[in-house]
Amino acid sequence: MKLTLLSSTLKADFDIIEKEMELAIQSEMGLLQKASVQLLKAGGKRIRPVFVLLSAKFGTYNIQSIKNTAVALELIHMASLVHDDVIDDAQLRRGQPTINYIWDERIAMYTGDYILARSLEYMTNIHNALAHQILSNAIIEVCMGEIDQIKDKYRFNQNLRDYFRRIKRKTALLIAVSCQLGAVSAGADEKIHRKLYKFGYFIGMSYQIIDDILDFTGSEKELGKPAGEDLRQGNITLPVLYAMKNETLRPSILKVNEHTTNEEMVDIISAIKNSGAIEKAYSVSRMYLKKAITVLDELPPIKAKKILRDIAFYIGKRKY
Amino acid sequence: MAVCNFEQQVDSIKRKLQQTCSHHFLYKHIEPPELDVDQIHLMAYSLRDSSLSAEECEIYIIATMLANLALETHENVSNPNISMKARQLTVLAGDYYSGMYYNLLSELQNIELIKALASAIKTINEHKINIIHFTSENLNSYLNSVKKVESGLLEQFCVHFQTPSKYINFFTEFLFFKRVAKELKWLINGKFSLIMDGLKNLYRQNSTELSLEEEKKILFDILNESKKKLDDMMKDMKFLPSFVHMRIDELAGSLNGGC
Repeated sequence: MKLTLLSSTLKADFDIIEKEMELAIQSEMGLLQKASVQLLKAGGKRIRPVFVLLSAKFGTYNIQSIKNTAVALELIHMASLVHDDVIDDAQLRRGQPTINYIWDERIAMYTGDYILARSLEYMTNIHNALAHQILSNAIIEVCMGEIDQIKDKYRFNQNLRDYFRRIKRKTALLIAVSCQLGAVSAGADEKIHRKLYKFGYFIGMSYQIIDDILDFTGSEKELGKPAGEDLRQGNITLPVLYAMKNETLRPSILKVNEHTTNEEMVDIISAIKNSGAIEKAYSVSRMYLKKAITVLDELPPIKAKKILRDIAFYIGKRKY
Repeated sequence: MAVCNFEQQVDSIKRKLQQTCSHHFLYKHIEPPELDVDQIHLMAYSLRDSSLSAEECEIYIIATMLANLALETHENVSNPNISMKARQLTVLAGDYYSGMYYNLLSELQNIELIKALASAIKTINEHKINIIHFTSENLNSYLNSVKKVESGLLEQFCVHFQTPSKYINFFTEFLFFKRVAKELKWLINGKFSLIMDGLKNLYRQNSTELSLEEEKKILFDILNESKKKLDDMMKDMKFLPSFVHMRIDELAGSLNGGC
């Protein structure tokens, strides 16, 4: 997330969140501290805390209270990344060695569980049962989405509905609840927080579709992994689903498996890029973005609304 | 919770917990979690005189057990004998149980218990790392970490529901005794013992490699010490349920002749 999009007031509040994140992972156990710091330093776009802060502006904004929700959401995201790296047996995350690579799976699991626990501790500073019901439901759904992702690997006969349901759970949901929980934690009206949920959901869908497009159009340097790696790992994304509608291209995609060589992948990626699938996927991403803007238009005219709009357009144009 | 229904209640909790965890795709690839019925007994016993309804008692116990299962499930991730897919699903199963414990307590609007259990999980993971990367020379500090890992959640549960501290101390020692007994059994059967593996670092500082017999003796001494503590504590507790006595005898008995 480019901080230039944020106003100076929000930048100051964002600094508070960053400092709080550092405090959140303090531990007397040296190794745990090192592992968590490793993860924090790898950075990230911090889009969830930004959405929490901006959405809170639609209620009674108090940074000392709202920071709990913002930190909790980002810590949940961080914990899921640590566990995802174990799932993927990943060696690098954002160009940095993963915890499971530096230490081992056991340490990675403990670190992820520790960070998730810290996030819930922060969240319990918010004394609003609805906020906890929303977040806990989201955590369950995100897990279900990841389980579905494993279930659907190399299942080439899946349809668009399967894909959209999966990315909703995998990505859109946590962005949607970040927007909703910012507003709920700041005591905003139900109508407002429900709209913000929808805004976050549409943005999240658009964001993930672009992520799936970038897997084909990005360079290894930009992606931190070889292009087409999602497909090689069996993740059937929107560009792949569209490309498979091309009868000449379909057979070569169906042959992809984890042993497909880099050379073979180069040809398949090039064919997918030339099939019109990328453009089709972009148009779906833009459709979600448009829906997000429509929902945003229904919200009260405050300064945060303009920033949310700018972020939406920034996400739509991002290149990595 | 009526005392006469105690066993029925424990069975009901066990059944509901199994139903809550049940997930068709997960269980096709990974083993269903092993439920620690002793912990259900101890929690149910802690709530026996509470003003909560039977249903509330059940949900609180199920939620705390789910938190426990989440941690236990993640212990299996590093099992070298499982497939890549099973490993991946084991990670997600643990996270799924975490989400469920949080969700159950959110529905009951008990934010304080969510905080208490989250705090316990944080501490448990710190102590888990202390066990495998133990650097101190203090045996008690090491054994304290084992105790925290075993009983951290139960302890927070009991504190939340104002169980008298002498019972909490007894439960903590009982779960520690149970863990050491389990580890000793593993060692006797030629399996890997995580606790012994950590303890070796401590003993290696003064001598060379330990023989298997020496390792068994170390664990056996720790177990005996714990049994003495339990016996002393029991003298001061008139109303402990019979299952506790039975379980201690069972655990101690299962190791007779092993050393």
